[in-house]
Amino acid sequence: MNSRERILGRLRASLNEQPAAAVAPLSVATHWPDPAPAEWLALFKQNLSDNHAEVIECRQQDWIAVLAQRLAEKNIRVLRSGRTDAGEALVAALGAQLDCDCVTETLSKDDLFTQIDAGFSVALAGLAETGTLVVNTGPQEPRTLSLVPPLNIVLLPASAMQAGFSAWVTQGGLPQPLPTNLLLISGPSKTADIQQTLAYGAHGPKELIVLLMTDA
Amino acid sequence: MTAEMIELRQALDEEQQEFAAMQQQHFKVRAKMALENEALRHSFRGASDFLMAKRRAVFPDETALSGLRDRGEAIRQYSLSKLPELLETLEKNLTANGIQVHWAETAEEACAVIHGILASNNARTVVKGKSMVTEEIELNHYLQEKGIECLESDMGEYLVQLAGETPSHIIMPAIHKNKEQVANLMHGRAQTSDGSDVPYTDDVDQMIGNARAILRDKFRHADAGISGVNMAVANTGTLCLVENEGNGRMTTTVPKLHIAVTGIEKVVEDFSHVPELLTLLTRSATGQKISTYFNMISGPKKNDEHDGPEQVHLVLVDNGRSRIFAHPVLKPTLQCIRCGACMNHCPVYARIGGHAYGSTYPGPIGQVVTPQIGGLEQYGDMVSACSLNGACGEACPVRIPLPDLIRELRAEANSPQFVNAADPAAAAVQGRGSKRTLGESLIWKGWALGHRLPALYRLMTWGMTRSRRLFASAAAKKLLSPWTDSRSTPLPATQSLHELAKAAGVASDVSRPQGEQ
Amino acid sequence: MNQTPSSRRHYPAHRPRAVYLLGTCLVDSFYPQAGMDAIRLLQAEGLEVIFPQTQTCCGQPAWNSGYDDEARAVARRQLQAFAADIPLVVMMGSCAGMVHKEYPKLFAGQPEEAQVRALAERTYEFSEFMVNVLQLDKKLPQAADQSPLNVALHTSCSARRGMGVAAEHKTLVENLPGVRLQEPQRVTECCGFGGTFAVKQGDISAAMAADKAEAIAATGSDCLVSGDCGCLMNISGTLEKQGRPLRAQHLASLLYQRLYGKGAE
Repeated sequence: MNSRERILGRLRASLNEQPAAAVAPLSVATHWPDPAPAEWLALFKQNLSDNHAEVIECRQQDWIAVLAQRLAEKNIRVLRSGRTDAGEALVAALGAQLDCDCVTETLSKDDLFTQIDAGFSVALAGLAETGTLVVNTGPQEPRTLSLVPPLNIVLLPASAMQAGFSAWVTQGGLPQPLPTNLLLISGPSKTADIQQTLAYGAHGPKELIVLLMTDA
Repeated sequence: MTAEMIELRQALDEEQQEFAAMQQQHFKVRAKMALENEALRHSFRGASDFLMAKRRAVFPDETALSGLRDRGEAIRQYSLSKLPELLETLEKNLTANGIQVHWAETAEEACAVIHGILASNNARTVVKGKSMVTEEIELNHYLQEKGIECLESDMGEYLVQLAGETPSHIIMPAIHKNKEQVANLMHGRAQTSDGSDVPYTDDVDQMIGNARAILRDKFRHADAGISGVNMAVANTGTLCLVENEGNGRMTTTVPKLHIAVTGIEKVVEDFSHVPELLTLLTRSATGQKISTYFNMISGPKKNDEHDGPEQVHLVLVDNGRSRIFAHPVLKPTLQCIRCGACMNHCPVYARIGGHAYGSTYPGPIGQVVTPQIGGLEQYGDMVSACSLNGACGEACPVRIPLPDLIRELRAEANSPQFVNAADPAAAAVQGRGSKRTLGESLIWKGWALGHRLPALYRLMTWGMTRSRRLFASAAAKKLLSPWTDSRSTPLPATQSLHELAKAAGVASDVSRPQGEQ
Repeated sequence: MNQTPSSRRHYPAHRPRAVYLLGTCLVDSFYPQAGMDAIRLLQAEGLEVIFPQTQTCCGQPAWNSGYDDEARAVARRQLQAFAADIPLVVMMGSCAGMVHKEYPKLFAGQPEEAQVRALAERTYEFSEFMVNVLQLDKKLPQAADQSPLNVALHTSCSARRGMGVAAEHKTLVENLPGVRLQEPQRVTECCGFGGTFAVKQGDISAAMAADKAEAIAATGSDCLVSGDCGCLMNISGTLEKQGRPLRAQHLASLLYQRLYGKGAE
């Protein structure tokens, strides 16, 4: 017998001795209120700004211009995006202003860690209750773009807003099959490990800009 | 090197030696040392007050909190009720997703398995995300002896490792250090990527910035990342990690090899069980509605993907858990989601801090887990360090009856039936009965006799009230010294309530047929 | 029926004619006047009080220390002492919790299990009974003694968390005319008593007691009141040792004195 069989054997023997009756968890009422749809946008924005993120409202026609201005103000020189429609539109529009490209091959770690100022991603959904962006990674959306560059920019169409994680999952929001890496992002990276003092930019992004596209 | 730097390094070395010496002491000695350390008392009191207030603020509604805890408890109990089946499902789905699954019965086996994976990939440098189970199995020490550099990357864990200490809290590992201590530690021991000393600063943002620069360099070059797991979803074959700093994502994303390590109890059946556990975890732990990142890993990098680890492994660790699973009363120990709320709310922890427990897991959950993993012989003393005030049980997001479990472990420790720790087949806690002493058991036998026979009891209280002056004597004071060292000596009354009630004509018996009017 | 949010129990809709009183061993030898005050309060409400002379201790010290056989042997004796089907009122929160919550565990699988469950159901902590069954809080505005008094209330952890009756304690003190309830800092924190914990982990217990004593003293109250005499003895003993003694009394004594204007004898 190997370890696996011995561990499983012991667990099964215990269950045989003391059968454990358990109720189906989802039948237990939580009494935890979901925010009303009318509150979603405000709550989402409030939660994200509480967590030190910048939420910029924009529209389909002007989001690139709005972002371009913000990037210029922040003096961003190198930006990389996933190969999404929005990313390609961004690259097409800003190519003259800065070093801006979509990632199409394996990223060099040195470039990633030392050269790229900002990563651009598109969110699959927004969760109002916690101020959260759901980011689905894959060939079109590298995992590291929302992690390594100091500035993390995420575009979210307001129509993708949901009450919260629980509602999103139970209402079938999860991609099928699951991507190799699904992410919930709710602010720039942070730590309070020194004397409970909050500091942003622990290991990942120091800043998070959320472009909330209100008419999409 | 400047004279100041030489002095600082000596001081840090001395602190580390003091820490090592303290860890060799008996529980009571460690507790006393902690109680006498003003800076430490201040750190823990402040942290406890801060974290309790934060938690309260994100649970404004009692009914909603109660309902959420009901759900959390139900999810954990349901998962445990199907544990062997869920582990097999998890293994099947992880494997289908390309994640390799390993099983380890003991801490040694887990370390050997992890080392084997690293060795077969020629990995010499490892960055670690925060993981209590790897602390439990003492992985760093094991890998160090095999010549593998293992760097902690959670800010708190990094500081603790830099100091040569162990975490004092499961969520905030360096909670015992104030910022001045961290400033000295960083300046005296941390080195930048080019090998120079980190300039002194006690500004928290700058200290974090310095550590960030050092650790980002390590992430970039590490051969492998080792992380823990907060929840493993059986139906989808997904490993979930909760974090704020981004080091967890770095660890699991940047190196080409990722090894996740988890206790076998962390599995849940379905993804629909995840959101409530997540919200309970972050709200209970640090008073956050959600953590900055929730990282759900369902496979290594695919061919058409541009980043991510090429290999992902999961090591399932038993290390005593299947034994806990067999105990009829102590089984809820395994419901734990490692939020740390019990220690944040524990008045004993607030005063002695995490290191006094001398174990990986401190506070109430530590008092319950540690003796069951390490045996009562070695860790049985900590179960008496609880006033059974119930604050931990009240805070526990998955309703583990912690005070009941601590009491049960006292019964196990004092059981008249001794169980050899070396007997792995026994379902009892290792070292059952090992704390039973002749003296103490005789005291309780005498106590039981005196309270079982009402006439004898009345005689005793009569004697006590009539000899009350003896209580004020020096001899009595000495006998009662654990009490009287810091309190006045309690004086019995002149007559007992039994006597007063009898004298006042209060009936001793129900004489008439009873019933409500 | 006056049911507070803190307690989900069902209370008798009518006043019972008679009740048992479990004085508790600590009250018996150290605070017997509190026991007499409780008896007089119950009698004044028209209830017959039965105080079985065969009662000793609920068994909690042994149970909390992990000596289950010894605890059970002593608890069995209380089953006999309180056998009739009338409410059992317990002077202290921790002993009430022992009978109400722990006895069913202590006797699980024992021949007395059903009897124990029935006893647990008719067991009430003192203030819980006074508020929820006797509605004593409604009577307090007519208290005979309405002189100004600053009271620091310490509700034990077993009353607060075990029995869930912190609100009842507060109600009883707050509704006394002239009494100003002073809330100490970290009011919900344990005072460090914990029965044998105070002896087995004397240093930790003393540190907790010192903090609690400081918080109580900082309220500047005229007296310390609690429904648990272990906490009273712990906190007042610490204050006295520190050279700043404070009058300490059981809630029953405060109520009796204020309602009927009589000092403890």
